[in-house]
Amino acid sequence: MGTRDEVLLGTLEHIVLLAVLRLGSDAYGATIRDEIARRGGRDMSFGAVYVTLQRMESKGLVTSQLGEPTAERGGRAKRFFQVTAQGRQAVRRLQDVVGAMAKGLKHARGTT
Amino acid sequence: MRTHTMWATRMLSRLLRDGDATALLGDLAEERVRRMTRDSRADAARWYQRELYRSLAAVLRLRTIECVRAVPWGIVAAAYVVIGLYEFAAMWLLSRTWPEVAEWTSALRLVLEFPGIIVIAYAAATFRRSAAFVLGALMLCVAGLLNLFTTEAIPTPYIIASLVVGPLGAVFGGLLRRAPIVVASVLALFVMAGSASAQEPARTPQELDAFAFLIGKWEGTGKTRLPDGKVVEYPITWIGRYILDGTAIADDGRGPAPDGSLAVGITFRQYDSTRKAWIIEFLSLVPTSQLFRQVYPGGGSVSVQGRNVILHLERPAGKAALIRENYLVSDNDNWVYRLDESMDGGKSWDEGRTQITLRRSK
Repeated sequence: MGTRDEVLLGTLEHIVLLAVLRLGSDAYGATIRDEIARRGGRDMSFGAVYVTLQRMESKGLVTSQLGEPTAERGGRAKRFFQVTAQGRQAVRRLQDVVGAMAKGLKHARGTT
Repeated sequence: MRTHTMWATRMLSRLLRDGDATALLGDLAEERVRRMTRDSRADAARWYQRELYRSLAAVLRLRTIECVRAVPWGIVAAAYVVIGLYEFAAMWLLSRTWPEVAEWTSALRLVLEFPGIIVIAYAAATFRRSAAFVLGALMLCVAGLLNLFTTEAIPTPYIIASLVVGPLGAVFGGLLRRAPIVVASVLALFVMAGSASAQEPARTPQELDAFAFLIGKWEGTGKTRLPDGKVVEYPITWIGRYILDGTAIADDGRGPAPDGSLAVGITFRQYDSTRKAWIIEFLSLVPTSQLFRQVYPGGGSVSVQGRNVILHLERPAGKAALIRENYLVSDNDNWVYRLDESMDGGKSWDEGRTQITLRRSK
């Protein structure tokens, strides 16, 4: 049974959090967006990615730090993201809930 | 960089936290470089521009959703209801103390209600400060829609006041928690300026004040001496109001005529500041429709003696009698209409051919 303090993930948050987890130390805006497009087939804008990451950071699900500025980026730094322990727990909890809810459902994927 | 691209970049910087906008623009630049080598410079530029606007739209959308979710709708709704009740209470109070202002379309009424709206918004802001600002936005939307879709003729001062007073009062209520002295000073200036500009009638020539006593609803008894010397009495209702954005007064009376039939008529009173002349016309609707030009630049006159007003009417064509109307105002709630007639060109007067005593209807 979940507690009241548990952070509930939205769909966007869940997707972005999984992408950050997959990318590990190379998770920044462009790679996160590419990962979501490549694996999830979802063409998110950079703006949506950053707003979602910012929201998750305020919830304590991810942390971020600025990298070094590079010439190809017009002298702008990358912001690297990492999933916190709380973020990992939130993902695990959501997977458990989804798994438990879907268990035994033959038509869960819309097949007949 | 094009101006509109710079504008979008600035917007993104404002909507994202420090560093995020820089990182986002860096990501876009990095991808553009990649696309320039893979596709072409023009394709990459087009992609960059499109992606910049997509990002701005997404940030705007998500930020709006966050704001709407953060709004304390319960507090806003409660404050809105309280303001509605307050307006009814203010109307009730004004109808007893200052009836001329107790109209739904009175700009001055709205200005008078301004401090109360601030207090209500301030109270809402003590629970959540954003409630006052959302309340202001809500009031602005409602006032705008009502003004837009109403089928009634609404005076311009009221339209302006309805769009300004409520929303601004709510915003001031919210700001009052942050900078009380500054807001209090601005408020004092606003109320003074508002009261002065919203005086009704807004563009009334001062001369028209002579007939201001007519404004309101009046009930009374009329007495008319008939040619045979017999005096008939009848009840009468007289209603006066400002018209034409407050530049004129229309007052109508109704009651049984001496012969028992219904008599209804309306008088239009206006002072022409340009020609410095009165225009007073009387339209009799029942039993026959006739328009009498009583005072105009070429005939008739108006003289004001204290609170009393005396009209020497233009002699109607074909009539031998001269008519003099006396409006004898005793106080804010009582006045007498007395009609005198002269058959010798004004040398002597038969006073009180008709006399109507009127009292303000509560």
